[in-house]
Amino acid sequence: MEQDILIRVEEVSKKFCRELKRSLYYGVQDIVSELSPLSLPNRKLRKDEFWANKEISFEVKRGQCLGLIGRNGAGKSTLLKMLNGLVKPDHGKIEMRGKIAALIELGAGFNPLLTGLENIYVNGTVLGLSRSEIDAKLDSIIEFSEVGEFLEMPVQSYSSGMRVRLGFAVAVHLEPDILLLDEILAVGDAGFRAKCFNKISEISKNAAVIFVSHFMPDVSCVSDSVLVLKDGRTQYLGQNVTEGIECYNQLFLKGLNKIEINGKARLRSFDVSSSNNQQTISGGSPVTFKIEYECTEPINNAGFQLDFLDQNQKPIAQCYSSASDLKLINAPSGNQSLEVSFRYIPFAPGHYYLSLTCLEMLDGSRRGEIYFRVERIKAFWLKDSFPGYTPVQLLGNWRRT
Amino acid sequence: MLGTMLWQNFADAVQAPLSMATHNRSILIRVQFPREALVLSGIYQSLFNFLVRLVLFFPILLVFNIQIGAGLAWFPLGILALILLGTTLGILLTPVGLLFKDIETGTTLFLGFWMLLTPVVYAPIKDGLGAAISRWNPVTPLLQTSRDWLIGNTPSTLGLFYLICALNMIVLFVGWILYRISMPHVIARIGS
Repeated sequence: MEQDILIRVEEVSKKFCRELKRSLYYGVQDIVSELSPLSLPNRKLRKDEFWANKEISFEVKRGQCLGLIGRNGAGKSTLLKMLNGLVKPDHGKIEMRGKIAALIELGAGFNPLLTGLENIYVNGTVLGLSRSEIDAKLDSIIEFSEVGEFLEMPVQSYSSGMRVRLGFAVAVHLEPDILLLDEILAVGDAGFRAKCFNKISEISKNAAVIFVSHFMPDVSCVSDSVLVLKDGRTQYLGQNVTEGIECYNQLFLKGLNKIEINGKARLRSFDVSSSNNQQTISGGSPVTFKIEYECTEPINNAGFQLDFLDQNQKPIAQCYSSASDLKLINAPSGNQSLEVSFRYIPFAPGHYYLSLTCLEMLDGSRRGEIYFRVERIKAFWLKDSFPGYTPVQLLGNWRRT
Repeated sequence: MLGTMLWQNFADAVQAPLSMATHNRSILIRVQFPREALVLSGIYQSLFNFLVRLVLFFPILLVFNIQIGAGLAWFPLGILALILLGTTLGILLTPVGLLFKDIETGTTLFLGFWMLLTPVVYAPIKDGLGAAISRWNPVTPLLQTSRDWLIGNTPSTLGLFYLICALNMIVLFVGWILYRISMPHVIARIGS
């Protein structure tokens, strides 16, 4: 019984229509064709339709957690809706065994006029708990939700975080066999997130979990297999979570767009030299970035600024030339080149971007005129480093004392 | 007066399933629950509305000194029949009505028109076109019988009443299956 398959998805496809009126008309058509026993399922796309999900197959056993990742609009939510039984697949088969809890929209079905306590009962009933079951779990739900003194207040005066906490508290007490999670951990403060994680891993010991997130550290932390969707199709499916996440990050590499500002200077080329190829940098090995630029007129007190951005384009580290001994006073016009090297890059495995700025450094590290700036000049994939939770992983000297 | 009250039960029940579904649309597209719950709560709502109307209605019966007949015991059956007939129509309209909002608006308009075609505020027409319309109007016998029961007349259309009730149960069952099959499709179209 330990390894029984709770979720089995076979060749599931779903099509959606781009145009509203036509979509509604197709809806009527679908109903009619489902009612008539003679009509065969239409495997072709009608006008204005596209595949939201196409031929997706996977299995999840009890105790397993499948991370479902993909860019926005890749079909993750559609797939979850089909798994939840809200929407029927156009083709294919979905088998679900046991009690399903879907944390897709938390607090759906809260009545704003009722108090928190009353809503626990209402929401619990909607999600399939009986009154006596809720009675038995009530204390635990209230404690988990941390709404405390606000319990007797109408939910309309709750903060959004409180509403989500209450919704989550009810949902996790369903004791499901199958748990569907859709990006719900993105809300709530850090303390509550941690609590949710503990609860999820507690549930997942005894359930099949499907976990949707855009935050890769969460995925690698919770999932033991990964399904990457791209335009509704399976891009990667397997037990190797790191490989799956890499596949997900590759989806972004194509979308590398540079925003350039050109002033008195212009970048000619930017290269990475490391032991591997250009796109991948090994976490433990030395890296050198070579910069060639051209000054259209003489520039003074130039400094270089290298920004490291994470996959969400958020700056996580910087490196200034003026912090080192390099002084670029009175550079004449013409071609110049320089390089910067690192013994290693102390980042967690993942996908990172580089931005380069050449600017005038004034006294007291104030910044002056920008000579040139190229955003997202380079994207690279860092591997073979410690898979920590934060982007920067410092290598400390740990010893027993 | 009595006719309007009875008719209103039917009209309520026609609109209830669809209006329930539209009002709970946000839950409908997010939470998986038995979709029949909406229809049931629609029926409950109609029954409750009826009780409220009844409370208001009894003083009027006293003021106008209308005699209440012995058939009163059967009266709830008449009400139930009216509500169930309305529910059948409502359940058939709901899937399409969720997709196209015009259905809900149209229903309200059409019900107003239908009321005039039914002997609600006037005595049943005995001959001519009016009689023909009245004969094919399923609401007429239900309404007549209920009214007769309440005011103590012997129901003249009792046979037709039971026939329509029986037919209605069959159509209601078919409508329920249609509803079950079509709801996932509808939710897929209105979802998100």
